[in-house]
Amino acid sequence: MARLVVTDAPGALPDRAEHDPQAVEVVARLSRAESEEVARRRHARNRALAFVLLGLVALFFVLSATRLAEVGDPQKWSRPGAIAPSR
Amino acid sequence: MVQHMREAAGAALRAGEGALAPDLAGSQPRDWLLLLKPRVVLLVAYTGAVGMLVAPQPMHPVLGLIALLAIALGAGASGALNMWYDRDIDAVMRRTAGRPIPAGRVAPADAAAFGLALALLSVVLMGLAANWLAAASLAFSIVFYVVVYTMALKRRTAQNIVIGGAAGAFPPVIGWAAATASIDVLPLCLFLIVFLWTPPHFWSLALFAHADYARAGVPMLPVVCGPRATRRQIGLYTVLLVVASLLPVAIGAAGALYGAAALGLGAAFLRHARAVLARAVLTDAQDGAGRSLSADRPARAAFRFSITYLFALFGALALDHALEGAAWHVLS
Repeated sequence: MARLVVTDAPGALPDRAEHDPQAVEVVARLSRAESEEVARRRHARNRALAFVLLGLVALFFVLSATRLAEVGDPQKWSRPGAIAPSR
Repeated sequence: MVQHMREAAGAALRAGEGALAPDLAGSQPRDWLLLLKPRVVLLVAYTGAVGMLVAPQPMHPVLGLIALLAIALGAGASGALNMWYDRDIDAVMRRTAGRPIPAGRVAPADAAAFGLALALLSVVLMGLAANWLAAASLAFSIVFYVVVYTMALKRRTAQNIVIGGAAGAFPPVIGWAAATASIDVLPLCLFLIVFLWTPPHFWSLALFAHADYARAGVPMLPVVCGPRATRRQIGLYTVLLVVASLLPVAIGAAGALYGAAALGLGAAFLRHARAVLARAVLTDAQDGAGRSLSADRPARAAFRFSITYLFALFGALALDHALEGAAWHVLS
């Protein structure tokens, strides 16, 4: 199993307290600004994903409401075999 | 995932301190939108909307908008899957090297999953909002674009655009089917118009970017048959397109307003095609990056006008339908 170690202190050694002898450690040294950029992009993606998920919920709600409203007219229920009595 | 991270870290190290490898930084929401090819989505949604508007049976506005969204999502899904499959040639071509996948901002597997999820969502949404004939048509168009055009034809034949262009011609049919749960002669005419529009549109682009395509090994017509044959084909298809654009009038589905627009726009397109054909040089000199050294202005102008042509022609059809042929009554 691999572990990506990102540090914002160039030259700092990663914490080896939980050393897995079979692990491959990849050290990417990022400046503080780069770390903040990574975090900023992650937050932007999370916000966009939340917006999309909420949008999907709203979309299916509107779709369902519209479809149900279409069959809300009792005249449309007046079909042979339908539950509602014909008028 | 492990290899990806290792390569990303290596890239960052090779680039030196302060240089953030694109895939370490992660993608931005804009990159995922770019995967959808938003300009193509806009054109597809527009033609789909016109197909919906000119249908004899009006749709519930909310359901119509959702059906239109489904068409747009289906087009976006096709674009994402196309970018996933063509990432190798996109990386080579100057025009496409900045796309999210070849630029390293989006992982290929993520783009493929995104495209597949969007495709599924679009088809289900269309089925729930409209009907399953429209949903099946949408599914077929997605499969046609991804499998038939992108995977089978694009790298194998110079006729890739001619046959594969059918994928872009489906939206008006899908829009009509969404509104009427049927397919009629008029949507098939619109299909034919877009089908015949596609070759002159893309071959004009290929004329001033053929070195780019050649470097990527894509057998576009200018690469395989040369610019002269391509210019003749552009002229031929433009003539066929203008004739086809008058079919809606011939079958009585459009009035004089649309007819006049089709004739005027057709005449303008023919002028552009003639300018492309009349270009004296036998080859279009280009630099190593694929930029035209002779600034093939007729081809560039024809490409730009082809977009205007399609928008204006379909817009005239929608307007003509909205006015219910009033212009014809006035003239007669």
